[in-house]
Amino acid sequence: MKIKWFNVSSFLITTDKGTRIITDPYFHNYMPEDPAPPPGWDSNRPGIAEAADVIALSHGHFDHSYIWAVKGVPRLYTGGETIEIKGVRFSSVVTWHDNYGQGGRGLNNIIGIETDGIRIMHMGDYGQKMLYDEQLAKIGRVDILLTPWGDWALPLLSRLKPKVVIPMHHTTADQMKNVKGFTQIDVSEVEFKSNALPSEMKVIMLKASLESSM
Amino acid sequence: MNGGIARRTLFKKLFAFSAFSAGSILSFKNNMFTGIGSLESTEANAMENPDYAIGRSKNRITIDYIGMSCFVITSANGTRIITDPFLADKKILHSQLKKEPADVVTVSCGHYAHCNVSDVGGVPYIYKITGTTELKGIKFRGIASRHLIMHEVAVLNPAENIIICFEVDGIKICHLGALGERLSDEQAKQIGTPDILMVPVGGVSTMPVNVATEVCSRLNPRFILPMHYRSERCLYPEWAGVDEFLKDKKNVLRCDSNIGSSRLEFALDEHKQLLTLTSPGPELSSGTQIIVPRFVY
Repeated sequence: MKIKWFNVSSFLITTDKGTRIITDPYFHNYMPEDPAPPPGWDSNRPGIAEAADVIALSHGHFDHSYIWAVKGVPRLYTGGETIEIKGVRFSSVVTWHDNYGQGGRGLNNIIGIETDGIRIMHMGDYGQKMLYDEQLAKIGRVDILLTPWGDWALPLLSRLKPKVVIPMHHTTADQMKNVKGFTQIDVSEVEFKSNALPSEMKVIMLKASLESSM
Repeated sequence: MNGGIARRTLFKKLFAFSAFSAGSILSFKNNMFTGIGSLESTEANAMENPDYAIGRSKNRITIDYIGMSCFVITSANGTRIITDPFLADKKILHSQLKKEPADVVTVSCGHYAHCNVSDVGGVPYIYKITGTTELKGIKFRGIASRHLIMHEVAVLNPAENIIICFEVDGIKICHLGALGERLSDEQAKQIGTPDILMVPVGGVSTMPVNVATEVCSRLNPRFILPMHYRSERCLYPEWAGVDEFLKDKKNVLRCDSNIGSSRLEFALDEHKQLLTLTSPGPELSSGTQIIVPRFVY
């Protein structure tokens, strides 16, 4: 199973059988009349012009749900019931986008993707101060965690105990450098095998494959 | 988020009222989360109402209008297609879908008022390409076309629009998306003669109203459903309201009052091969008919 980071929260997960899953495709081309982009948004970043068998979306904000960029006739998973598509198991856990509940930026789904014996959790735009116990129970085992970074992240890792952490969504190496097990690598795609996951937690910062050329 | 519960209550009230006054098929055991309606409720009402049962056909589909360019099309066996789901904002006050389940969601262009699929539930296919593809036993055809060229958006965006045609239970449906210009001969040929045509009539970011009229008469469909126009739920001040399009038109059935219906039901007579509107009816004529459905609140 391979994981490739496009940029922001968008990854391509390719299973051993070749099924292609794209998570949270971002909007690369904000226009004057569109809802305002997040602060500091880089409008020159190229879009994801790749095909997928399945698109998984954590929530409806446009830096996470621009399906127009993705090619092909993909199936869509937006959370809800656990379901198997092309031998890959998709599940979801509902969270808040931030720590303000109803008054905040709405809901978010943590998306679980299980394939080739590996359980991946994509945190979407998770932003709660801490996980509720029932969310933790629903998440269950995590092998690879794809997550944004915040003050809440380190306590979260100690609760979820993933074997591999891949930071995403505007996280910078500077933010991460003091985290135990952190390495930054110069490739965008890495392969994982269920029988060869690290025993000590590793935090791997990938190189975004879609960067704006300055 | 905050207005969700209040809106749902209002929705139920309005809908209960409309179902009552129209004496129609809108029985309301469902809430918005489990579905806009179901075939069972239609069947149950048909049993209670012999008039309604007359003219029943196997080939019966329903079309619910959500707002903007978004329709929910349900086939006789329950296959559901959702077109162009939009993102509500300060100007678009229509009720967004709430994880409405679908088998296929079609997207005509990359604008947020057409491609907000995160509100669609189930595990649908996303159809937004040119060419022919069969999904869930329904053949989809995508025809390349363009937005309005002069619009400022078009300058920034390769103004791509996909006209999407599909046939549900023998009924040919064509959704023009955000079409911005006259059809070429080739495009018109590819579309053919639809039974039901969904056409944007607000102008500005789609074709002007007179061009919309021209496109309609060229394609000569049995039914026209106008969409994507200014209303009390869509506040783009420079867009035209639906009245502009309806001016000088005959055979108009307006269901867009508060007690009107957002659900249309069509049946194809297997022998005559004639498509009829079975609810809310009655039919006005055998020629092209324009129906203005009420949007779901």
